[in-house]
Formats: sequence, structure tokens, C-alpha cells
Amino acid sequence: MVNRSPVPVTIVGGAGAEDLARTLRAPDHGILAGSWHGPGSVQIDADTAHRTPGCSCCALRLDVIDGLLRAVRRPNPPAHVLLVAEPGDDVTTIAYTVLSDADLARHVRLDGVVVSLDAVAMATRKAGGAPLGSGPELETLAIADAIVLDRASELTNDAIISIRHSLGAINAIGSTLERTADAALLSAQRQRLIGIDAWHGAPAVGARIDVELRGPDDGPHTLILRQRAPLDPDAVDAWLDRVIESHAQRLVRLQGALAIDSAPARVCCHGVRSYAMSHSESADPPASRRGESLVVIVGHDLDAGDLSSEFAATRVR
Amino acid sequence: MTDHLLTSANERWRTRLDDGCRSVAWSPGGRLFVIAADGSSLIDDPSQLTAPMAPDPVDAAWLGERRVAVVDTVGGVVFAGSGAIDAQPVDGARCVDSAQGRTIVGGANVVALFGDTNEDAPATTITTGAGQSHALCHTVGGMWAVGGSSGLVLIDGAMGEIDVRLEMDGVRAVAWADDAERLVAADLAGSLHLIGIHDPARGVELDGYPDPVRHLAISADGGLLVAAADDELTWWRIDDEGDPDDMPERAVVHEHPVTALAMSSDGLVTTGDAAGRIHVWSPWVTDHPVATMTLDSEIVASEWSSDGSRLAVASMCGELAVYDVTPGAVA
Repeated sequence: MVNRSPVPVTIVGGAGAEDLARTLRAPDHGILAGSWHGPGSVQIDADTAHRTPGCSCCALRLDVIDGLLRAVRRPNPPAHVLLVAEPGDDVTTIAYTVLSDADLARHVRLDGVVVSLDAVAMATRKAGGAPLGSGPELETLAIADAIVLDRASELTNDAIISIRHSLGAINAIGSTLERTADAALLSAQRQRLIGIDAWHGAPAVGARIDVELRGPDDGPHTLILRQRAPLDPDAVDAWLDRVIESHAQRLVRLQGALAIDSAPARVCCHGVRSYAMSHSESADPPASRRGESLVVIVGHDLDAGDLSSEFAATRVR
Repeated sequence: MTDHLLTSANERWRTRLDDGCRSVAWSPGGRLFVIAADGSSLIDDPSQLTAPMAPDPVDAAWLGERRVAVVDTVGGVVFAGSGAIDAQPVDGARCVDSAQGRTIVGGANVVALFGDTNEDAPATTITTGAGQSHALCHTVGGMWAVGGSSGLVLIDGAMGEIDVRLEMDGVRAVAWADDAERLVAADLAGSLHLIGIHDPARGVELDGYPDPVRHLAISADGGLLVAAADDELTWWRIDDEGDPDDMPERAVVHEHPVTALAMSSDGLVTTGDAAGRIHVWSPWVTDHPVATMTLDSEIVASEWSSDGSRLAVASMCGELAVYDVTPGAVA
């Protein structure tokens, strides 16, 4: 029996996704894309179905399932797959598909979501007072583990700082970096974009207060919840079930590291829409974080008051 | 009379292809065709290997005994054999079947119908309205069933039109009971739909699956339906009226998820799993396999020859084995 590790998959979205994926690709990487054919490429065409008819929170991209399986069910699968989300693709649905499909779960592991953003176009929109993006674009930015600013070198430092500030209000979980053409810098950047395993550990946010809500008026919000007391296992299980049950259609990313009472390690959880999964934290957290529970919920119309008070009530009494 | 407990499965040969297997097909006369992920193929036995004929093949079917059709996601469909090779574009081509002198290719919201004897002639293209095709089979006369991401359609190949369209979400497997003229389809919601071909609107829905059924088979007489979801196998007994038993037999049959399933003309069922284990089951002794074999990695295809005497099984790492299977006989 062949026993091998799941192949990491990075979803690359945004306006310059295909170009960024081609730049990031190493010789032993595969690319899944709708329109580009080249070494290691597998073609996919948008094909969506729903696990339950009419239920938008369990939409599946069947083409993503088939394409990824074709790419990795081979004797020598690629070391990493870059999955290009075409303009207009719903990146949340792609992430949900990669995480939730049972066949894919045996073969691949979601490594991260990387979004390419045209910094000049964004600066122009900001200057003109236009919205920073459409609803799906803001959603993609909100769940991104990294946002790569393209053409940032054409802007002033002030303009870049302003863009970073705006992105910080949309995205709490990822990092923002400026794309470079310099080979040495690119190599360093690749390490921040590929092989980051951003979905299966503790969320990459620093929380200074116990409840924080941020996000644009017209887009998804991010709720960050923190507790320093150990959590009751049954209570936190029930709370997570309620979060999924009551928010599934509005939930675009859930990620947490939970310090459960008497558990030897924190329990990490992650999910999208109606899918959620938990497992023990594999990496040792920094000493300052041991015993701290941290949950990040990205979604639409979040009831921050209820979510935070119910989470606070899960601590051991 | 046969006694499946005494079934023997003897390995006829085993080989390894250069890439993972994608599809296995037997011709009506017992010829074998296996297509690998790199587009190369094996015909009949390990001594006959071909050069790659398609960049990203996903399915294959025999057209009689001398030619094959290989479906490719990039190029469409490739017809090969008798010293000639020909490609025809089909948008989003994913699955293929051939019967009664015609070949059908399921694509993106379309099917393309070709004549076996003249593949160069323009295909009859029919818009299905079923989204991306994922599974298809010949049913009766000139009728075909096609399952896609937004439903199931019955296509009248002779008239070149849709006969019936049934809305379901994500049909990924279909099977046909020839004698009973009964069709079964599995959807992503975890239901099976048992449909009489002459009254498709009056189907029976078999639900209760926590995981979607990914693989299914039905006996020619329509009396036995076998479905695999995750590591479980369900045996549905169906009466002459097309009504299933209230309580099907259900059991965990593999330590890993079932990844392939096929039923022979003798009623033997084979299941393959994600770890490369293959079981052969008798419908009369469902609590224990009557034979077990192993390949090197996840089973991606298993197919019985049409007479039920041989079983071909293929893995994702390219291992391929053919077994002679003999149901035991009671004196």
C-alpha cells in the first residue's frame, strides 16, 4: 500500500492570479487552471453542484474535485498544486470543496489562499471614492492568507500605506506583501506564500483584546474572540455546533485554537460554510499563547454580541 | 446451480503501467483496454502497449472489437484502432459509452452522438441542460441516460432530442438493469433514484445515506442494487414492481473508503478501496467476501468482462491485474 502525505494545494485568486501562479510555480508543482495549458497543468472548467439541492452553503465545485484527483492520483504526484481561481470564481466555494470532499481529503490538504491585487487599480478606486471591490472580491480578500500587491512600485509610499490600511480593515488573518521581480526577493516571498499550512493550525492573528470586530460596511466582517481561561469541552463543542448551524450560509472562514480543560494540547478547528473539522495542534505554540483560546470567524451579518457572549460562557466554571 | 462461497479468483497476470490508470473497459467479445493518465494504453495483455494518444484521458469505451474511444478533457474524443486514429472536439468531454452502433460522449451541458462506422461524420450534438456530464449509460433501444451536475436526462439518440429531464443535484453515477428496464442514479445529496424507463416521473428515492453514494451497480434483472458510500456497502433487494425492501443490508466492508465497484453477469460484486484492497462479494453471503486480492495503491477502476469470467482491476499508481473468476458449482 502506498502511504504518502497529502499534496498541499494553494488557491490563487484575484485579477492577476494566473500570472502569479506561473511566477510561483516550481518545476515539480502542478497548476490547475481554466484556460492555461502548460507543463504540469490540468484544465478545469467551472462546474458547480450542491450537496443539498438549493442550499448555497454546500455548493461544491465538481470540476475542482475531478481536476485535483486527476493531478494527484498518479505514481508521482506534484509536490504542490497551485489552483488558479478564474476572475468571477467564488474562492470560498473552492476552499469549501477542497476541505470538505472526502476523496480530496485523502489526497490533498489546503495550504493557503493567496490573492493577487492590482495596487494601481485599488489606489484609483480609493481616490475616486469607489468601493474597494465587489462582494465576492471582498470575501476573497477577507479569507486570504496572503495578499500580493501587483504594480505597487508604480505608487507612492503614502498610497501603499493607505492601501495596506484598507486591506487591514478587510483582512485580519493574512499578510500583505508587494510583488517583486527581483529573483532573490521572489524566492523569499515564495516562502511566505507556498508551504505555509495556514488552515490547519492556530489562526495567524494577534489579539490584544477579548472581542474584536472589523470589516467594511458592505463586505464580510471578521470577529476575533479570545479567552485565557480553559474551556469546557462539551460547552465549546456545543458552541461550535451552534455557530455552524446558525451561520453556515454566512460563514466564509472559521479558524481557532482552543485550550480545552485537561487536554494535553490545544485543539485547532477550521471550516468554511457548513463544513468544520478539528484536530490537535501539531506545532508548539509560543509560550505566551499556551492556555489561550483564539477563534477567528469571517462571515456576513455576524451577530458579534451573541457569538462572543456564548463563547465566553464556554469557559470552565 | 452455483455456490458463490466456493468462488475462486486466480491471477491471470499483473503488470505496471508508466502512469496511474484512469479507465478500464472490456469489449463485448472479451478484449481489454486500459488507458493511463499519460495517455498511453494497454490492449489485451501487457505485451501490447501503445504510445500516448491523449494528453489527459478520463474515460474509454470499446466500439465493437476493433476500435476504442478515449475521452480527453482537453481534446474531446479520440477514436483509435484498425490502424487509424481520429480526434473530434467535444466541449468538456468527461464520459463515453458505446452500444448498438453508436458512441455517446458526455460533455459540458451537451452530449455528442457518433456512428461507430463513420466517426468522421459530424456528431449529433444535443444540449442536455444537465450541466457538466459525469456519468452515462445506454438504456433501451436508442435511449441513453446522462447524469450531470444539475440533473439526469434521458436522450432519444434516434431522434436527437431530450426525452425526459429530471432535476437532481450532482448526479455522479448511473447504472442500468437491462432485463428490468430500470435505471438508477446517485446524487450528491446522498439519495439513490430508482426509475422505470417507461414512467420516469414515478421514481423511488432511496435515502438515508450520510455520505453521498459514489459507486453503484444493479443486476440485469433489476432485483439487486448495490451502492457504496464511504466504507459501507448497501444491498437493496427490489421486487418485480420496482419497490425496494424497507430494510436493506448495510455493512462496513472495507477499512478504507470504497473507490471502485462493479457487478458481474453472475451477480458477483467487486469492491476496491483507497488502500488497494479488493473484495469479491456474493449477493447471498454479504457478511464476508468470497475472495480478496490486493494491489499497490488506491483502486481507481474495476470491471468485469461481459461473460463474468474475468475481472480487471487498476490502481492509481499504475498497477493492473486481471483475474480469472469462477463461481463455485454445487454438485
